[in-house]
Amino acid sequence: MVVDMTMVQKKLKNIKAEYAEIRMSEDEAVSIHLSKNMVETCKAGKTTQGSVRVYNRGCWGFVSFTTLDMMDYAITHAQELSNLQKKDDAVTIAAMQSNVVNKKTKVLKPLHSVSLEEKMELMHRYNAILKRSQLVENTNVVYRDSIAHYYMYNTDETSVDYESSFCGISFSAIAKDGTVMQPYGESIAQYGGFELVEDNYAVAEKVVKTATELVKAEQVQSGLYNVIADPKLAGVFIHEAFGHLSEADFIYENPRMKELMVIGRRFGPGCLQVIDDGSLPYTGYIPIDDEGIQPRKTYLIKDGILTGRLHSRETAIKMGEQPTGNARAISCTAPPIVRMTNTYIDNGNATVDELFDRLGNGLYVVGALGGQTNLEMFTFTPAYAYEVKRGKKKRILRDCMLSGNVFMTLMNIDAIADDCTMYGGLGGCGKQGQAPLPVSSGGPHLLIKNVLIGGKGAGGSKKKS
Amino acid sequence: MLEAAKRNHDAIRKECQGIQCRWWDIYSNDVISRSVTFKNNMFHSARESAVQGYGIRLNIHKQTGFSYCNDFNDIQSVIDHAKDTAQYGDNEDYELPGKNGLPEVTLYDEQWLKSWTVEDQLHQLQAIIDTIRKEYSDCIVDSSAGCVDGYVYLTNSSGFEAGYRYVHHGVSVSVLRIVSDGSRIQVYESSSWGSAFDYHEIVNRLIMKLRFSETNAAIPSGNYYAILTPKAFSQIMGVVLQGLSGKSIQRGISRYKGKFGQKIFGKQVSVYDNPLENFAPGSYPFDGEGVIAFNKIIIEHGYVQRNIAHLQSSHILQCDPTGNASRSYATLPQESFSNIVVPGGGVSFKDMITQMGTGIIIDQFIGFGQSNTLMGQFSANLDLAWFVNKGEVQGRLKNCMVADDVMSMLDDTIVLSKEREWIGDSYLPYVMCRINYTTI
Repeated sequence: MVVDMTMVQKKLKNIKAEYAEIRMSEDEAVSIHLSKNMVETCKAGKTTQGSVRVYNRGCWGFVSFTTLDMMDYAITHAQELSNLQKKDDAVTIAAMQSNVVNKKTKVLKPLHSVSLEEKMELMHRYNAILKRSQLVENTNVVYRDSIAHYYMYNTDETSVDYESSFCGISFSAIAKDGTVMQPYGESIAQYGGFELVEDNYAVAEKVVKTATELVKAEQVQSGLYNVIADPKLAGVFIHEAFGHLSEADFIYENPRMKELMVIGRRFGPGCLQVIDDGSLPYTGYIPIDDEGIQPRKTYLIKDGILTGRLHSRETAIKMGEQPTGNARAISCTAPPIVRMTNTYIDNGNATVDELFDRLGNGLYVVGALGGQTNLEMFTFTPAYAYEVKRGKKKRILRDCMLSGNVFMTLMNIDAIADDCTMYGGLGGCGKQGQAPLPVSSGGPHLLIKNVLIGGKGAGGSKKKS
Repeated sequence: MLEAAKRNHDAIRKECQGIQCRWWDIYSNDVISRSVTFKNNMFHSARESAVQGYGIRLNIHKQTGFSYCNDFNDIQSVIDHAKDTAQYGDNEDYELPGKNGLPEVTLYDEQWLKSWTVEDQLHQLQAIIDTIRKEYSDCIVDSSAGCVDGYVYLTNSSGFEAGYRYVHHGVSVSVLRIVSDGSRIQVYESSSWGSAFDYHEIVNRLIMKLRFSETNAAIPSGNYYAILTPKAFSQIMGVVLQGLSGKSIQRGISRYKGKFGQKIFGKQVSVYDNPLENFAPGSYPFDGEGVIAFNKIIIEHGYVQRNIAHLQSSHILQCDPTGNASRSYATLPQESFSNIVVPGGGVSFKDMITQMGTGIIIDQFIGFGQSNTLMGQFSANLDLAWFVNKGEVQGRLKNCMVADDVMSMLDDTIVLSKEREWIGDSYLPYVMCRINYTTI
């Protein structure tokens, strides 16, 4: 795709709007999926996408396309749509500082330099590791890469030319023992080259070892527990339980939510710092957001107190705050909405050993299969758990789900360790039909009191110890 | 536009016919979606999205390769990629379906489509918001209405060539109230259909659920009677149907393997996969591989009867394909249910509440399906549920979850309502059963 920057900027200047942006991308992708004894997918393809978004007196018009010859129609029609209904009291999307971004992902081993044969061979080697155990009934090795060229221009005279290279793998194994079937998986993905997916044999080995251990493990007994969450689960917890609550599009026009999420309100203990930062080199990295705003380090919680939130231009202006560079779209065919990037809990001052000593009896919950929140209640599913007795890890347990009230659980964080680690993968975050958006999340080990665990024998709430 | 698709396919077919291969197929989509969105009670945005593209599948020496693109001027590079990937594809030793008579199914109402305008939708949504806010002036309503107008065209080397147009009109409404104790009540409803439908049903359901939620209730943990609304039952159905695809049987991860013909669920439970329901969102005359669509029994009176299968898994499992291959231009065919239809029972929802006496009504879960559901077990938080005592709704249950097993839950004691609702592409009744409930 060759984009005539001068031509696009000229078209932008002719748009009658308070704010407008044009985005275009061309993406070449390879996807491989191996299951136990089959090649489920081996495909390569190319997509072109583009969109025009226009704001006029409180209303957005958005038109997207997959052939660039529709651009003129999109420009005209997006203006028409933005004028469907005018609001007299609408705020103006003010002009911001213009940015010129010309970036390319740094890679050690360019994806184009690796043949499909080499990619397939490596995935077959990983699959062979997953198949080693007789207990493994099915395996999945998924490889995905993409080289995308992204262009964005807006009426602030911001121009973006970003060539990204993204690559990732995921491994999963389903172990079977009698009638019990137990899945376990790991995923690694990042902006970079083929080097990211090489030499991950240890990860494949961990997957098969964990799945086969878990299939023989007992289920967690449901009830209230004090728990230690590992860094991966701590990340999912903060993403689900608080990150989504910090997205200002849930708040900006809702007076009651504004009262609940008032800056200065205490949400956690003094040792709790929660940060979103799209400039960090993890899976949620963006050189600039899809409205042309630079990403930044945004403290959502500082010393336990609510200090900030995630904004697009629109939400920031409507709340009288600064944009934070969090307007992101899953692709050029979707409009930007407020999203997280790299979200994490910062280090505390305890050691992991101190957390276990303090826990005494409870559960050590590890990894994450997923999570969801309704902005008040949350659930998230660790990959597995360990019983902890007198501060020592004991037997492994399966089928565990953590559930609770966001506000109560944040206040119940009792101690934070000093080993923050970030995680991202081929999956991602979903919101308003835009999924999976690449994000990362992480944190240090956390000690949380009184967490409801769903598992075997639900129907009793007696505290376990 | 079908003519345009045909012209594009003719050009691609010429290229494909020159390739030394066992078989090929070309699948294309051309879709325009239009929608208007209200946020926080106010009009926010209008959107139009046009997506077109095509995928080419080539089977060379029994190995299948695949590539896709948006650009109909770039056919040769797509063919080259498909050839490259075919070197690494699996052995797929089956034939594609040839020319066949297509079944009758009406996918959309032409007259209604002509009258559909963005401006009308804007007014309709405003009316929905006004009606709800007349009852609950403190609520915040997000809503959207849209129309997806698309074409599918499929050509293959066995002589199959056909296309169809599908149109769905959808409305979704989400109502948020934050009550005096700071708790959030978020209720959502949506509907999608190929012809006009009554928005009032959505509004009435939303208002009923907001009324049920005006006060809070609390009950101790235990095993209770529960009524699952069609929305909640659709999530349970997801677990019921897991394991009923050819792929999961072939991979050895279906809990139904070796149990076909056996009674697994209550006698009241019958499930049909019917792609020929007129105007329904999951309908089509032929699947993504050209297999003609037909109505089929999946579960009958509790007996598990059959799984769905696309060409690849039906070949491996030595059964007939069921016309359930789903694909977009950029993906290979995957097995997918069409419209899931569960026949209702003889009791009204209202009588069901009276009959239950004491129990729970469950409408919305949080995190359903995150847990390991391979064996039919699930565990999920309750986003929206109410306590019923002496046949009357007492209030909303908060800070609670349920965990159970779909096979023991949907046993011979369940009761199905005579009312059914379309939830996406599933047509489901209310279900009364027993469930394990835990409160914090």
